[in-house]
Amino acid sequence: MTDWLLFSIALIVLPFLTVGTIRLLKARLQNRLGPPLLQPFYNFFKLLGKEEVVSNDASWLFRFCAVANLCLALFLALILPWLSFKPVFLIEDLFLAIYLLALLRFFSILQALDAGSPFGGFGASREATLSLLVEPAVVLSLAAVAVIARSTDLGDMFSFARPHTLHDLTVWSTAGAALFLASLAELSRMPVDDPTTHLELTMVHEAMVIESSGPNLALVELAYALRLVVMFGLAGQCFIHALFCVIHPQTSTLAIISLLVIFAMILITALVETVVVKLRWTRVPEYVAYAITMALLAAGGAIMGRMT
Amino acid sequence: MNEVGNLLICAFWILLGSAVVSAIANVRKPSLFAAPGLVAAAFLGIAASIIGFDKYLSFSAPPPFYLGLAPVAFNVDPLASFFLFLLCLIVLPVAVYAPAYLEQHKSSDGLSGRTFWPSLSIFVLSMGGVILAANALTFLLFFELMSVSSAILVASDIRALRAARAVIVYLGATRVAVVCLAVGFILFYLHSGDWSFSAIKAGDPACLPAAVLVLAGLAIKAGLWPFHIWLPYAHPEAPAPVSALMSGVMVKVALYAMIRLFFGCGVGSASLTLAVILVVLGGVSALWGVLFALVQIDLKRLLAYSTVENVGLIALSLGVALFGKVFASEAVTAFGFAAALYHCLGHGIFKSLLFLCAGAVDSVMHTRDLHRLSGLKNAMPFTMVCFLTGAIAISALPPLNGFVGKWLLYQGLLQVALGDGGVVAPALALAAIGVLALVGGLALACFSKAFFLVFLGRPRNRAVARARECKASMVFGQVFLALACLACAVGSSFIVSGIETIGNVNFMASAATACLDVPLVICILASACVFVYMAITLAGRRVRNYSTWECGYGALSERMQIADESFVQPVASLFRPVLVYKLAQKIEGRDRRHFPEVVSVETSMQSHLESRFYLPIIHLVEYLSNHLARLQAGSIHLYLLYVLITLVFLLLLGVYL
Repeated sequence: MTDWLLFSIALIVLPFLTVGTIRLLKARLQNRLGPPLLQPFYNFFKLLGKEEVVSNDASWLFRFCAVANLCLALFLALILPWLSFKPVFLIEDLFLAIYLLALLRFFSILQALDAGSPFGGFGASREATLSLLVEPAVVLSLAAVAVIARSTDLGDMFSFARPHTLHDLTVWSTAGAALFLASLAELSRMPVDDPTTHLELTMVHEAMVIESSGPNLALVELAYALRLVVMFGLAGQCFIHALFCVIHPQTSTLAIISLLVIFAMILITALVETVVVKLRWTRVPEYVAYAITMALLAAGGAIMGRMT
Repeated sequence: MNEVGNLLICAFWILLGSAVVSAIANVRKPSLFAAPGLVAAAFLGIAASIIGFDKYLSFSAPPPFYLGLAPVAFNVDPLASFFLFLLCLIVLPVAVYAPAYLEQHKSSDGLSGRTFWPSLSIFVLSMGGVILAANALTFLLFFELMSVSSAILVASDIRALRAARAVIVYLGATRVAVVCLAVGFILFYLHSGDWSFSAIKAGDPACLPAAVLVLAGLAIKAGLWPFHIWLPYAHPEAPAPVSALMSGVMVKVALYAMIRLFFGCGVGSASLTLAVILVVLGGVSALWGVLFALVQIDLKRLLAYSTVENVGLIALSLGVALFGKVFASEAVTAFGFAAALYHCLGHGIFKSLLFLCAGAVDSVMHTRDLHRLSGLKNAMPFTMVCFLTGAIAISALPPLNGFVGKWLLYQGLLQVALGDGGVVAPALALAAIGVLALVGGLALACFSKAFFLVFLGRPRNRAVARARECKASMVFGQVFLALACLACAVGSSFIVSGIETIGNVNFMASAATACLDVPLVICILASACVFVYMAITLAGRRVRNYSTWECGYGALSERMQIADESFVQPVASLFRPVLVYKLAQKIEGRDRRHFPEVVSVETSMQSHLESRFYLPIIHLVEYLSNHLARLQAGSIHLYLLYVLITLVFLLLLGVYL
């Protein structure tokens, strides 16, 4: 019971807090005062109360996708093991989770294209390209974990009860790195997409949501924040398991560590967004190649691990 | 002879009767006879396949029908019943859909009736015959009938030059396929002395040349890389109901023969060579097919290339299953076999669905060119929902059947990686998992492109304003298949357990699939709830309708939205070496930076496979036939000389052998 309680609090609070923390840290690193920590929270309720403007050319899909995506993001948060104290939920299959993530992308692409806006079109085109580049990295790194766990059930794969040998250290750490690099690309963060420019035509996520407004935008942004924290948490769990191969902390310590890892990733993201410039679009595949290389290393490690 | 046999014979006579009547009866609408005949035969076939699912029966035609070396014999067993069920399931909606399609489709009014309906009946009949054939000669007989009748159907629109070219390519491919098959079967016969399928031991090392020849013949028919070349020509030119049958069922019939011969339900050793060939060809065709599907601008050509992709996935699953047999790994065999058969069923349903939707759009808009279609969302709401269902299914997204097929394949590959087969096999399996992930991403991009270019965005074509939803019978065909997609996904563990009975493999896959049922049902129910919730609450909310954001510069023109080439350009330029993608821009004028007078952008792509491999072969054949034509001089004396030489040669052969 307590784990459900803790988990639901985390589920409600963490998405807003993550986005707020990234913005605040970035502002402080750039010598700005920055918005309050809870600004995304206030924005959400402000948007919910606003009037919604829908394009004349949009169909029912435009609003259906916003609601469906939020549901999918919640479902994913229940399935994916992004916190060490996440309670067990029905069925947590690896490939189901990966393809639900793809369904979410499919809907967001359709929503961006529905109104026939050139901004939405270019954003969707880039999102489709990014997702197909990132997909092998995500799938391969998780499949490597599935090989060492000998199961595709996410609960079993990310279970601390299983013995962790020193051998698994490489697999866990490279898989975590691959997932983190991939999630930066997939969630349109800095080296791939700049969420703060003024020209939507150069962006991915902001270009896709340009037609959304009011409650629709609130839902889209919430779904995005949920995806962000879940992906960061998933990569973080891989790192925690890598740590677990060496030392074995208590369950309560693990819970605190998993929150700290998410915070560390937020810090890295803020740092990266402060010191790195956005890559030209044609050079993005080179960035994604790092994620794929990490995933290949994880897969290789998993196969070498079987030999011994 | 029992009820299954009677039902099948009934279906046979109904099909033959409707073919004859629609060919000779002097009526204005041949569809009045043929379409009900097809529907009735489909119902009988479904009944026969359900009743005969767990039976093993064989029957042969009465004495006058004899093929010289072997009788015309048929066999009913679980595997045949499964494919018979698939055939009849697709024929049913197609037969309902076709009459209205032919009426609306102006360009094919030249054929409507006299040739189309008899050929369609014969086509369905021969596919059934191929599925039930018990020996190689019966198989070849019906295979030929199937090829010829489908070629006539592709040629329906022969007045178009493209259709004529398509028929030539298609006929060429089927000729080569039949030659490979015939030679392969003769080699098998020489080895075993028996024409029946049960005597064929494809895994025997001595039979390897025969097995490879038969595999090549079947791969041509199935459209595996590098033999897929006829698919993108033949599928787009055929009328939509025929493309649905060809893509949904006919290529599966070739895959069925592969399963029958190489997997050999029952005893029989499997050959590692064949497994490796299937895995490699399957993987390459999956990637190749989806990559080329992504850059197509003709809707039906896009679907044809995506068939290449899915056939590749099925061949890959079959290869994995064979691999499991070679290494006696029950789990690998179970998952691979289940993936192959489930994907056959799933792809048969959703590809036919997409072809029927494409046909509906074609018959309303009279074009399949993705540049000229868009914004049909309000005009054709039912077709839009059906196409969306098909797009979700074919991109292997949950909660539909495409996902379950791909899930089983992933599980099979992961079982290979977990098994104890050294380092090479697990490494290859993980590599295949990476390729599959890439294929999934490409399929998602491909079908989101196809869907938005047809239905979303602002209309590019004035005809959209006049477009109306197609006729009720056409909508019925699509909705039926869309619901079949849903049913196939919800009942996945039931279907997979049936498949395991067919293959006589371990019941591992159905146990694993059972845990997918709940999430799939949750997803379906949740999407239905979201839909209803939106219909009830959001409909009454205060929403202001306004034009799409145009930066305050005034109205956007319909050309100011993303087009086909611009959407796929990032991916196409990534895969430029494979696609041979070329982009030529021309901007000219006195002051070309600010006031260009001529602006043109051209993209082109032709794969090296066509330009470097097939074109030289075609040139060689043309060159040879030009020179061989000299033999045919038109002089009776010369011909008599030929006869004499042949006679002497044969006599000598008779003396010395």
